[in-house]
Amino acid sequence: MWTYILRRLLYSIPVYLGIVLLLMACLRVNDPVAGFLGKGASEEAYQAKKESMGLDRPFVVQYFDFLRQLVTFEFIKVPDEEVTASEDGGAAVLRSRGIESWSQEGRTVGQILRESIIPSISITVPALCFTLLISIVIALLSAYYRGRLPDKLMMVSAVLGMSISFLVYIIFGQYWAAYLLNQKLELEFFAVQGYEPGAANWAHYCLLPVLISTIVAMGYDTRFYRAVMVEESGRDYIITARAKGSTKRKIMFVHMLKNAMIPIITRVMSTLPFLVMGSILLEMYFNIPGMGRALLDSIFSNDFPVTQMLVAVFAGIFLVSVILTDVFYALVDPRVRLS
Amino acid sequence: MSADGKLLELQGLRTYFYSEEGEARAVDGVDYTLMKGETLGVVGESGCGKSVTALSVIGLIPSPPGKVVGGKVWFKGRNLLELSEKEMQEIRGNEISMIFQEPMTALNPVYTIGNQIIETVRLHQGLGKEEARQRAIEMLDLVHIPNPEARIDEYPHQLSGGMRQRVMIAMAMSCDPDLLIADEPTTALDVTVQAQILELIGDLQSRTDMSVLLITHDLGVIAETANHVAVMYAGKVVEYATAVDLFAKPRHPYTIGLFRSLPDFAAPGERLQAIPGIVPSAFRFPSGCRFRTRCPLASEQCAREEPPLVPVEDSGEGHTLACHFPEEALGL
Repeated sequence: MWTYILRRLLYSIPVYLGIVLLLMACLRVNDPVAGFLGKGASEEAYQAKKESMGLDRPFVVQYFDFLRQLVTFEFIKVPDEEVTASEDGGAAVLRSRGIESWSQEGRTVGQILRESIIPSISITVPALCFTLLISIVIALLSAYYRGRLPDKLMMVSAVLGMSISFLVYIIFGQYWAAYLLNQKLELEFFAVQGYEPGAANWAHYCLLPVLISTIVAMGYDTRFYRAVMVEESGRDYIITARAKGSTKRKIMFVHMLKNAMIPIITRVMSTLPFLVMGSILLEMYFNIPGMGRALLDSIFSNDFPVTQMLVAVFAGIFLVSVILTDVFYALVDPRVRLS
Repeated sequence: MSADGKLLELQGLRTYFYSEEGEARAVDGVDYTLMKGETLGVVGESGCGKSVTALSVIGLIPSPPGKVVGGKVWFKGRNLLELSEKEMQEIRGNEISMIFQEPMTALNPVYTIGNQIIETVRLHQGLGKEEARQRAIEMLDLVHIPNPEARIDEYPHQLSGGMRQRVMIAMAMSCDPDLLIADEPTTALDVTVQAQILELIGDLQSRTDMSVLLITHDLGVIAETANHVAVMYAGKVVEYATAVDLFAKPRHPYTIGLFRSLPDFAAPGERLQAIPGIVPSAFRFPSGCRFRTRCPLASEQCAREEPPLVPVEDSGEGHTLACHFPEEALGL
């Protein structure tokens, strides 16, 4: 198992190198410095900016320097970490302080990452857990009552739920659950928008987006999981289990669920990278300073170092989650041998 | 157990399936009897209702779309069709077990074979974990799986088809059932393995006095193992006899046709004779005798009245036949 994980990690290195190469090339097609400074900038300012990022160096040098920043985790450094590395000043000091943002003066990529990851995760992770739990239970019930009234009701509401636009939920959620509730009942339970750190504030700011995200995802997931369950319930081993006198409940939860976990895991794992990245829509509408917004903001403000680093980090997370998917497979399905 | 030695008696069993096309009368009035300790072979073409009959006995007809709509299934003095689901769960795997055609898919791929046998034992015999494991090892040994202590922790995909069928048999036998329903147990296996599996079932049967309901389309398998034979066609039993009588003197034109289509029973140099036509759809059976559309003896009477299953006068005891022309069939 461990050798398998190690080997997969080694295999993904060339893939990652390729991704980084592509990313850096793409971001340099249009001169990022010119884009940031605009047409009116002086030649001196242009050159200074270029040198400060090391963009005047050959591409190969930049490539390896960028890789170094990734490998040494320089990208998560924040400026208040004291500089101890070198005395000769200049670039060395600058670099060991982390990678500075262009548009947000004095802030580093590390700071932006650290500050935006918590709000993102505090919405995406609970939303995933709720969605997973609720939709698996509904799917099981639905498969159990297949073709009968409870199944039909659940499936109709699932289709209904997923047919309504995300934006409708956001707008009505904000209006009814947050605004009207506050007005009529003088209850300050849901915030219309905004974010404050801390567990005590979580329900106030994050619960509404989490619920919306859950409701939206549930329709799709329930239908998918139900299809998986229905398919499993038609398998031969289910008849065998019934023929040996297993109870219906035991067949569902012992025999069927473990088999159904295989496709379910694939689906959940494929959403993992987006947990970190956050939901851009929700973060925009609820004004939550998460990762998705950080990336979007950096793109709109031509903040080249932030964009480049965030994309590279996401790509890394994506690769790791692909490996994790395979590892989970092996844990659930004995037919998959990781050797 | 009824005094006359009958373990299982089917009376007019009817199982229909309902779909948008209408009503499919998959099993439409089946009668047969299985004596204690004996083997009853049920033969017939695909789709004649032999498997559906067996699933009706054990109460595993998928519902919807299927439904047992009539008849009685007497097992040890009780009508199984009147029992609740809970009572049936206690009988399944315990007094009646079943093995299936596809050993490759009939075992749950994500649990070890030991786990699956232990589940059966614990369900019905209330054994502790360790005892149940011991019992499972014994059972694997009983079905001649080498090195059962190690094999018990293997997964189905690590075993060959024959081995898996042995595991299925071990599982079915683990609670000493009175009746083993074997639904085409050897169809998916290699010929050499087929013989081993049949031998194993016969061997276990002689040790435990268990009855076997053997469903197959292979008359060779029937010849080797069965005491009685029920020949099914289009959801009905058309002929029922001891294996000896049936093989010596088949009386139904369909049974005769089945034998004619086998190389073992054809005269040397003679061409094999196929039964013309195909099995009629369960949605639209012909009127009267259901075999008449393919029968060389078919007459107007066959289209008018359905022949009842009645004893044959000039044959062994218990030989019953559903044909209007028992004498003429002899000349075929």
